[in-house]
Amino acid sequence: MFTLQDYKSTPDTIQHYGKEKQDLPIIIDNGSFQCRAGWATSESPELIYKNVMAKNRANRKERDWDIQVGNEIADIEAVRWMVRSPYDFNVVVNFSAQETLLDYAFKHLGINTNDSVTHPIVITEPIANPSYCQKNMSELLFEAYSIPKVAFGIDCLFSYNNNCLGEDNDSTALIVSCGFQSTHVLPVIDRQPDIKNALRLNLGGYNCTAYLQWLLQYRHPQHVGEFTLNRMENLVHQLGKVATNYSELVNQWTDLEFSAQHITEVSFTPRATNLAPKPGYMQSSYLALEKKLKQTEYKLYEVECVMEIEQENPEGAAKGCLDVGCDDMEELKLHAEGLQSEIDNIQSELDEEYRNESTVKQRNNMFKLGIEKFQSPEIIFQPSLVGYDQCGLSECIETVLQRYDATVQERLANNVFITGGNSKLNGFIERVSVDLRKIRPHTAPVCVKHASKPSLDAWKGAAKWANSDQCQSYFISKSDYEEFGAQYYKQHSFSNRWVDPTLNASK
Amino acid sequence: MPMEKNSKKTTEGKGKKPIKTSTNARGRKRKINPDNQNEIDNVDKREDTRSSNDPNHDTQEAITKDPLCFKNPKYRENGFVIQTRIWKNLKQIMNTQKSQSLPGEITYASIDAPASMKPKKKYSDLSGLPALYTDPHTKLRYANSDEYRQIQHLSSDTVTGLLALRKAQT
Repeated sequence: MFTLQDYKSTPDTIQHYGKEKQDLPIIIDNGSFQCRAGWATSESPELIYKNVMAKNRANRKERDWDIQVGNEIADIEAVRWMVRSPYDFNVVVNFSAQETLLDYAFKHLGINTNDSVTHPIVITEPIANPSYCQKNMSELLFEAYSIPKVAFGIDCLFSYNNNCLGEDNDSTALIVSCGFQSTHVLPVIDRQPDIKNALRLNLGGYNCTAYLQWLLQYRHPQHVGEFTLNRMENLVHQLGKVATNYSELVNQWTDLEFSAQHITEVSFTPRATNLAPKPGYMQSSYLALEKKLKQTEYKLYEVECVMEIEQENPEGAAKGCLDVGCDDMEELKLHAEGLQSEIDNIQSELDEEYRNESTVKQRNNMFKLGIEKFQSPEIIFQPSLVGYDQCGLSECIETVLQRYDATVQERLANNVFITGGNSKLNGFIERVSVDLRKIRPHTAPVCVKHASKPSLDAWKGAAKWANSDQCQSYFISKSDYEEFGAQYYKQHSFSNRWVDPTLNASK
Repeated sequence: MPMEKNSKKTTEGKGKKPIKTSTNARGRKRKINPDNQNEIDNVDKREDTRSSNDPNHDTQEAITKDPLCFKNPKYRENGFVIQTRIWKNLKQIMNTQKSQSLPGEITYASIDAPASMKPKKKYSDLSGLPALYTDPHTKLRYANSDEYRQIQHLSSDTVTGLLALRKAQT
């Protein structure tokens, strides 16, 4: 028995900002799900909040906006339709929203210096971030906050940095980054990311949640209003499981004993606003009864018509009797009575069914979660379940491996590193291991590792990098920005590759 | 269907009306007041949750200070310039990048995973079991005769929804 709960956020406090924080770098792991921000010397990020804001029109007349950001949003479902994110898919496109979110981050870190944030910033960006987006981010940071230096990096590479021991066989690895909106496969060859051969699958944790929501809304129509995205997230995180062999599981599901082992009963507290079930969703037996009722009522109507005609036109009535299937008037009357009683029976049956459904609804605020808990994470491995024509994760890994020669393939397959929040799904690592084993030659060594803290390691790796000596030359300073423009970028072993825009000037 | 759609085609970047006054943390429009006296009213109860050990003098000063003092004042005055910009959505950005880049260059679109070469497995739209059959009338997939009976009673809304879920509609 599992109790479904809503994720509630606790509001962030404004931190103390003292002299010891002077010139410390601020690390921001910016993601489409959460933003994690904190000082580089901390153990873990001080601020972790959902990277969204809700813009509420408090008073329509005055055009006043009430903006709630991140953890200020107490109940995200109440403002679901007004939630705005700076992200479109996995890329930041809305820089006004990004500005509001950065304001929130700096404010809660306690920064109170005038006119500028006097700390270097390390901020993460997606793999192959378009230069338009990187340019706007640079502009926002340097213009709005007058930040002295900025460095960009890729979150999964930072996470790898935090987990590898710096040994020789760590220099070549295949990184699988499981995000909220997308899943990436990124090879690292001799410590440099090979972005050209990376692949991005356009499905992530969000799609798993949304798919589960749809499945449950279809299969349990009486609880349609209960399945909010917030609750679905909770359900996927706690109960979602990736099957090691999906087709075997599905074939065995028809066996009642097998499926009984895997079904979980989930109970929940009903929300205040309960949507009434739509008529189209009623049980098929109810519909069948309704149809039967209509047919019987029609027959009775025919018989009553004949009885009316009899009063005016006895001959026509006799013919009518034969049409309806009776020999004479007495039989007609008996037939009518029989039909009437049949109608009464069906009506009472219908009422009982309806009552059953509504009492069930009131009594049992619960439902059974069966194959859905395996179906929702499976979309990462089989995108065709939701109609996407891309390779599943295992096939992506295979495709990337095939782009290299045999020796490099062996080194990559021997050092697969999985990171990202969505990889915390139960059974995820095992599934990738088993699939990888299937595609490699049977004697080749295969090793799959999981990040120690898949959600936080990107931040920690970035902090580790920011504290090291060699990172200093990779920061873009304000004077660089003013001299070379916003699209100036310094690439390093944890960042995207820089494409010099002047090379394309002729185009 | 009551479901959030995850689509790359959302137009997030809508034009905003120009505002001629500055906005503070809560987005309320106020005239720029040198004393920052207005800010005292708007300083929300979060100030009480400051986990600060500063002496009273500092705390007093802190409360009267604008919570967004770290922003460049010129940027805030001209803030409306940034806010009126119409942000491109991802699809537009990808198209621009495609037209501006040389072939063989790394772009956001170039790392998109290709179409799958493996044959796709079919599962029932109603139960998730392996779908051995397809209903020629509605194009739904089903696993056994009980499911077929259920399909016959479905409303057209449900049928459309099920097909849209796996993008099977024409």
